[in-house]
Amino acid sequence: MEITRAGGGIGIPWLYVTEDPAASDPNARVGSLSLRFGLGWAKSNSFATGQTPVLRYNRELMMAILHDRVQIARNVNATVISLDAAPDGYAEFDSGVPKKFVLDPHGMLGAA
Amino acid sequence: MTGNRAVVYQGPGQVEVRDGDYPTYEMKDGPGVNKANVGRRTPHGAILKTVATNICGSDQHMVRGRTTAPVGLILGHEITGEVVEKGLDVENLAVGDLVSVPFNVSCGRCRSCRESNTGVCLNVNPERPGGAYGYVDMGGWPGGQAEYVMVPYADWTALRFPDRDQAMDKIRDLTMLTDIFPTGYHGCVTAGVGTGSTVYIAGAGPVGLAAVTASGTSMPSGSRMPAASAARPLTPRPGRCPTRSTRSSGCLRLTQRWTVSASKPRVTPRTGSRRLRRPCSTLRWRSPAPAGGSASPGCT
Repeated sequence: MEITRAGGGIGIPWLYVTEDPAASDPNARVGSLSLRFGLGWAKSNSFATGQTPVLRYNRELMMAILHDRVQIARNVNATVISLDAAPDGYAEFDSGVPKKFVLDPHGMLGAA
Repeated sequence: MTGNRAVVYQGPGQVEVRDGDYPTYEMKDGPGVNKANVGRRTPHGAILKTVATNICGSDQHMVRGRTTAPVGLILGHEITGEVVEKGLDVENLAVGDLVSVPFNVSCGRCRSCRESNTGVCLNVNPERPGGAYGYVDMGGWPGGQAEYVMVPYADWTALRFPDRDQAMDKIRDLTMLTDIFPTGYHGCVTAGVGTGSTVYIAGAGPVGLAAVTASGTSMPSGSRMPAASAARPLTPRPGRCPTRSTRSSGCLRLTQRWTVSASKPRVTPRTGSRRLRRPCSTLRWRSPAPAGGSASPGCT
């Protein structure tokens, strides 16, 4: 809110679960977030959050990929591993490596 | 009947690959399955052989013990697969089709779905609006980090790739259609990103980078999302900006916090922040031009 221009919008698509029992902040444990709502009012900011309705976008984004308009796999560093390597993938992801792990349960991506 | 090996949550910090049952067209009781969904029949479902299924930051959220996810939950909601069987009510998919499955489980029949708000489908989760595969409190639909998975309401939800060979050539990109690419895109849409917008993206994990990608994506069907003039992810770990293109879009290191002067709409990083590379020329990060929108996909 502080860095958004007056009249600007804030999209919050990421996950904010209704409860976060392991959070250190007691408010966060019950899914409560402290924010300066008055500042949002003063700047007429708009907010939107919630699960992304994937169906609204995926066909057009598919066409963008098929027509070579975007390189999303390269940009997120897609990294293919086997299903058996999933625990290692989770551990590595947890350590913050810049990779997006793609599991390949049937070994179909090797040649792709 | 073949079995089904799947990634299973085994408590904080632990996942294992375990043998389970091959999917059927009926919800079975199990860890995380909503009791009201047990016994639910899904003749509208298809069984997919999983071709690609991604690990998501929100999976990590559960595995870090930050939710009430029960031990034994089968994980995975980013599913791309080949139809190997279909239920009696599936009309438009054929065995052999390669499809992308949105992470949202949705029915296509309720008011929300009719308004294309599939993230708050009213029919798939007795607990609250919105369902998902392999996720706590999302209805208990078994996850797709598995060899096989049942996808309910398959005609409605599965996106068929037009050509199998073409799809396999680009499968590493197409697998991002299940969640992170649309999620980054949705963040930009809901923030009002348009032509010439300056965009601040909180977090440079996969979703943040997808938002960077999305903010510069123009669609083949008519430029629904014209390129923003500048999109900047901000992260405590710039090393997570994996590619030259995303780094050069200006990953910044967040070490403390950002402040903004009330008198001048100017964003200034406090001490300790530094640029990895020079930002793209269209962006003057310290310029008087204020941010037009921001998307906050978190840092995963």
